Amino acid sequence: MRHIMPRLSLKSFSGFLNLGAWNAFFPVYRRVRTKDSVLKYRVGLSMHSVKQKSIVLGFTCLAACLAILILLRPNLLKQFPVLFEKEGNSLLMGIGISILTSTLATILSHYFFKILFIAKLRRELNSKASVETQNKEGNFDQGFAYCRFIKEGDVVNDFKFIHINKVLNAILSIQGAEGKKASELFSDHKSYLGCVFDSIQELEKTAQVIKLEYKSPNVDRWFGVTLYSPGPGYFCFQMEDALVSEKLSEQGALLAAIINTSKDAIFSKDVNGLITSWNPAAEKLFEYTQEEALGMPVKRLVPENLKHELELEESKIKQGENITFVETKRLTKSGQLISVALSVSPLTNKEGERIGASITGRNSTETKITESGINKSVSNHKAIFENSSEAFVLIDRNFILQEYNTKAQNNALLNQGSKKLHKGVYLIDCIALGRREGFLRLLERALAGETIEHEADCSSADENPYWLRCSFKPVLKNEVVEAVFLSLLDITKNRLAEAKLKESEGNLRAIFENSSQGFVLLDAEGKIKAFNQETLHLGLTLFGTKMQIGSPLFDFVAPSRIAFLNYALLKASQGETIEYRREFVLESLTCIWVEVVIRPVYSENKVIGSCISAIDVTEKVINEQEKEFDRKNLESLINNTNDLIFSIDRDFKLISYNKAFADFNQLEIGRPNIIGESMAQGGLTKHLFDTHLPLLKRAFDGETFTQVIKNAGHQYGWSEASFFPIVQNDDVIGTACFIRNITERIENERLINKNNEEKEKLFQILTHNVKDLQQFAYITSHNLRGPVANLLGLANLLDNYDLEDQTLIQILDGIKSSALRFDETIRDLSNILTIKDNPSAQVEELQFSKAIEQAKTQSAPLLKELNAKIMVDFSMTDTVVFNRAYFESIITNLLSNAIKYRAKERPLIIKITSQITENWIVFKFHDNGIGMDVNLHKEKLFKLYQRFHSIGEGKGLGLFLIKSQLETLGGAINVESTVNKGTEFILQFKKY
Amino acid sequence: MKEPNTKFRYENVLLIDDMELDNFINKKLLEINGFSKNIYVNTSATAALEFLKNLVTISRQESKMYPDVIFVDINMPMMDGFQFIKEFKRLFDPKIIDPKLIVLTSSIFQNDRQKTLEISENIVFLNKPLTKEILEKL
Repeated sequence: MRHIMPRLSLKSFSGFLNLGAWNAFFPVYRRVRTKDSVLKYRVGLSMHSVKQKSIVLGFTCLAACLAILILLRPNLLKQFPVLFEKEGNSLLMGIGISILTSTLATILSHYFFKILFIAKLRRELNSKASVETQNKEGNFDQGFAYCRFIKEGDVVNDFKFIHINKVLNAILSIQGAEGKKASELFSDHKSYLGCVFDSIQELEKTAQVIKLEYKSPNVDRWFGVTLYSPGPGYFCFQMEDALVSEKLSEQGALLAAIINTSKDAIFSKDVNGLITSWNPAAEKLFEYTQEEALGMPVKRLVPENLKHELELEESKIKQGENITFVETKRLTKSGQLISVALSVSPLTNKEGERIGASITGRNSTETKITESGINKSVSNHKAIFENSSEAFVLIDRNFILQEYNTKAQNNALLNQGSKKLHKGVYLIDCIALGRREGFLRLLERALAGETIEHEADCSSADENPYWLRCSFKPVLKNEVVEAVFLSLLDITKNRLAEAKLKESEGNLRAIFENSSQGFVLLDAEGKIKAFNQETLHLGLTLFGTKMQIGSPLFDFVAPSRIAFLNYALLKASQGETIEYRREFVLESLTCIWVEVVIRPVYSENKVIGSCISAIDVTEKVINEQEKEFDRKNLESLINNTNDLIFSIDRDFKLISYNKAFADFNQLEIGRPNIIGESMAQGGLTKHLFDTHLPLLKRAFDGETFTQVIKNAGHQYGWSEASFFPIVQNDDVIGTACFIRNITERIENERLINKNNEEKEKLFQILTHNVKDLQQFAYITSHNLRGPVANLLGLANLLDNYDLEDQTLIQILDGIKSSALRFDETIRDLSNILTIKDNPSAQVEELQFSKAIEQAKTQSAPLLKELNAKIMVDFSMTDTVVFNRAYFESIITNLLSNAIKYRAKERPLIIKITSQITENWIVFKFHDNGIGMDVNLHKEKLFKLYQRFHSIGEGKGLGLFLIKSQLETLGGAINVESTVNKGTEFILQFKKY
Repeated sequence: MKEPNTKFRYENVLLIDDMELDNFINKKLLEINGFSKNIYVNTSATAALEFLKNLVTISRQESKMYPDVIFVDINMPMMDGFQFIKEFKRLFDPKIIDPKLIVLTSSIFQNDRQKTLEISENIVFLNKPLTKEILEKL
């Protein structure tokens, strides 16, 4: 109870401290207990006794005067004939003098007692000077000062400390303040004093209690300051550690609430038997209001015949004993005698000093009821019992059912057992088997004297939720548990609502936790009340600190941020929302942009804290920066291009233009263009404007187009103009124009075209020449062929005539063989021409074996003559896709080659094989002829008219022909040869 | 001189060539080898067609006058060998006159052989000069 701090109302203080006569008759007697370690005012003593004593003194003086008058006899009065001509007048004068004297005495005594009081106050204050400034918990005790206003005219501009305690001395860091002015003491922190002066002026005017908060510069913590004026000209300055005062006021409020709501009358008295507190129940019971009761002697409540009880009570209290509920009688204000049960406990202060007693009273009149009253009460109770929304059951010690109500009959829990609910049944039988054990345990606990409140899920098998609040109360008789009273209440709905609430709370929590934004909730002091995962993450990333609930936010941010954050939080506490974006450079030198919003949090229209939301907007910022970068790029692009870019409105007025346009017009019209000037009137040369006018009109009609314009004799000999209409709300309001100088390009194009034409001509000539050459070759071979055929024909005819002259025969043979060679050459040439002229010869499937047979047949006589052997192996593959004529020609050529270059000393052996590889059909033609040095001749081997042997009638065209024929159809030929051993031709045919 | 073969393989042969020398050589070879009893010679395709028309008109059903084999050159002025063959096929009913057509040319170009085959597969393509061995196969 020592922390209870009575509300320091102005009235109470004016009562006990105001020493002026203006409220001398105000009936106040109040004990004010501040925190006892600082100052204990038993001020009731002062004021009440001052007034009482002065009045008593005054009347004593009056009585003394009257007595003197009577003693001095009336004759004396006759000595004043001027004033008192009649005898009665002397009496009147005596009375007057008496009144005058008594008034004087009253006033004098009043001042005398006032001086006494002040002396006492000073003594008490001084006695507290040794009190520690800080208590064991490190909190400051209450600081207190008694001050006087100093006025200049009507305005308070300073105050003087009359008394100040050590605690306040320490808090304010002032020494020897008593009797000094505040302005002298606080010259170094005037700003705060300014604020105090405002409050003090207000206090002086309104006489209301003012509460302030003060942060002491020498003790780094907040203090609550209470200013109140106990009477005109004076005020009290009370300073409390904010932490303690909060705790105290909280606890005090709690205890006060308990006391105020208690149904028992609770009051206290001091050692003098004067009432010091009085709760509403006491008001009701004893009919005295709080105002009336405070300061009233307890004696007034006690009937005359029971006064001895008080003495007994006092003696017990003095020994520190408690008196518990004694049945007695007390008097109410109206004089009614009531029966009460009183319990009295001694009250002591921190030092253990007895300061009085608390009394709890309970009206026991109600328990003293008449017979009819009982009946009425029973029937009332019965009605309540029956109609309650709770199920009630009363069982005896053996769990036999004694009483139950309708609700119990319908209660699901009590109707799941084997027996139905009726009086005399064993209650456990009425309960479902599965629940019996738990139920029994609870009952047994109740039987042991315990009152059990229990909430249970009694959902049955149908799975509908069913919750019961069960209460088991032991019923006592002579301190023995005689029965158990059971009440059951269906709380399913509450439970479901709770669950729902929890769920929605959970949902909100989930949103809070999973938000990609960081959230921090701060209380009014800037301490963290809650934060989410994202915040933790952000905090770790940005500051490398891990947040903790309950610690000030400042502990987790970079020191450089504190000042700003402090400012932002202050703004938020004033109801403002602060938004800002900031770049953080991490240790890794990566930048993070964070967008922060600080909002005030309201509760009942008061700011109770703030909510900080932070989101990583790095990506967004980078995007914005990139856009800005792009815009700048575009701008630089537009300004660095040589193309003229500009836009005009429908009145040909310039809207915008680029650098190239400005440069161009500087040359054209000799001055820079001005935005807004008309192109029709001097913004362009007349000639250029006239040339472009029809195009601009087309653009104004909404057409987007590009046109090449010839400007004879102008630096822009050829220009390419593009027009892009500017459309706003479906109307063309102007056009953007891009004009490019393409003179150079056009000239280049012309040059290229000319070159191309020449090339084309050349190509045609070449083609023509090639054709001519082909024709020439054709005609030549054809025309040569005729005479050769004739020569051969004539030679053949000669075979039919007998020639005798040997020389003639030789001549004829020479002519014949020459003609034959001539013919062969012409045939080869024509073959080559045909192949070259016909690159896509028809192909078909051919058989190696057949072609070999055919060739063998053709050369059969010769082969027989040479005793040549041809061995073939086409087991791997016999087919090839090729042009028939070419193929036959190839085989014939190879065979004739082998015959031609055979080794004379051995019979000719030819081996022909075929193979399939991945991409080719390989045809190998091997002979045992004279061979050749491949390395020497390889390059020349397949060329036109190359010969490596002087032997026979070889003309070197055969291999070239084979190569041509193969290559035309995607094949290839190779050769391997050893001198005097043989030659192998390897032919590759394309595989289809 | 060797004895000409008197056992003729064909009754009548027609030689068409603008070159006198060619005609001489071919006629001699045919004679020496006893290829046919009669050898008609024409120096142009048009003349040959006229000759044949007359032959058909005069001889009427006398089919023994008709040539059994016609040797025709390709390269001739006015009308070439191919045109002759086409014209011949157009003018004469094969039921009346159906000789063996032989293109005899000095041309060794595949193109000419191809063209001949395109007109009809029954036409024989031969390169000059004719030889005894070739004649034996005809």
